[in-house]
Amino acid sequence: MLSQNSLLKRTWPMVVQCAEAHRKPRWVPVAKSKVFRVPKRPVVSEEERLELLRLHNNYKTQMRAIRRFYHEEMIKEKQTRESASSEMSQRLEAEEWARCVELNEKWNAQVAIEREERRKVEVNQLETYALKRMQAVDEKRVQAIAKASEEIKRQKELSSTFITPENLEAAIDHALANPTDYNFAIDLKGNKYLGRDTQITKPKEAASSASATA
Amino acid sequence: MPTYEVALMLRSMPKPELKTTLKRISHAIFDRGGIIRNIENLGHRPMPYKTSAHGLVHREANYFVFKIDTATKAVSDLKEEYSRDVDVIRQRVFKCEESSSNNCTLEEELLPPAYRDEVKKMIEVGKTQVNRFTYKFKYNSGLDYYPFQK
Repeated sequence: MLSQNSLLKRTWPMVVQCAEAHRKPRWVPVAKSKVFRVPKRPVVSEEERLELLRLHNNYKTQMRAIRRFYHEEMIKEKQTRESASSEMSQRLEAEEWARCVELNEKWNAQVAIEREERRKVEVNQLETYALKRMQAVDEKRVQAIAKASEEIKRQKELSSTFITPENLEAAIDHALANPTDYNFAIDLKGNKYLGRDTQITKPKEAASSASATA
Repeated sequence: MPTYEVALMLRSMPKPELKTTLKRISHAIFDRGGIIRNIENLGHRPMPYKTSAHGLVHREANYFVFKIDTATKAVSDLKEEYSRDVDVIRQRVFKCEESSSNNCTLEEELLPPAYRDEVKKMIEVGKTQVNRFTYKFKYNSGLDYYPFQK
């Protein structure tokens, strides 16, 4: 904080314009032409100085008086307040406290009832949810077991057709005698001609009738 | 035990020899606790390209498909055994997939988009996902021109 005096004795204007763009850097020394220049000190006349001093003293005295007045007032008020917090005020405070506690307990009881109800509903929901899930799992398991047993039954039925070392020879003979062929051709009418080497005979009467109409 | 299909190409040879080869192949499966469901003969046919196996060049082969049940661990063993068999030219093992009973829905799929159930469902979903906070200009609001920049 600048002191009052320094403000009064200032040698440069209060508002200094920022001129960083034109200022030379800090490390550049004083110019040769300005090395021996002595700045001119401001001259304050004795009369003016005394007048300013008087005004300044007056101001300081008055401010001090005001400050002291408020300070003392504050202290006095504080003392009266402290004395007021005697038995009477303590009793009042205790009463207030009791009232607050009572109200708080009432609220707590109400909230507790609501909470109980809510908890009951929540537990119910949870139970139904869990039950549903368990049922779903059970159902899934039952379905899986049914599917598996069905598969087993099917395979058991099929097992009579499996090839065993006993009937292996017959199976091989059968396979050699009956070669299978999955190739087939389809004509435009959707007729399926099985086999790779099947001879396809063109239906002659259809072709002849077509030529007749044309 | 999963079901596998063993596809084999056997070299062309007389029938009795072919029989013994097939028996050998089958017994290899039985020895490893496998089950043969079916043996299929796809015929004696020219191969797509000439193939050399066990020092011989083959142009024709007997095609066979064995449908077997065997332990998963036995498969590599079987493959190894067949690879050493001189009569086997090529062999592949495939896992059988369960037969799916897919009904043909081509008729339904070829319908115009507006009639497809899938698209209808999508439109229904789209209607529920409209942003209610953006203003949409209504053309039947009485103005006979569009007031905003287009």
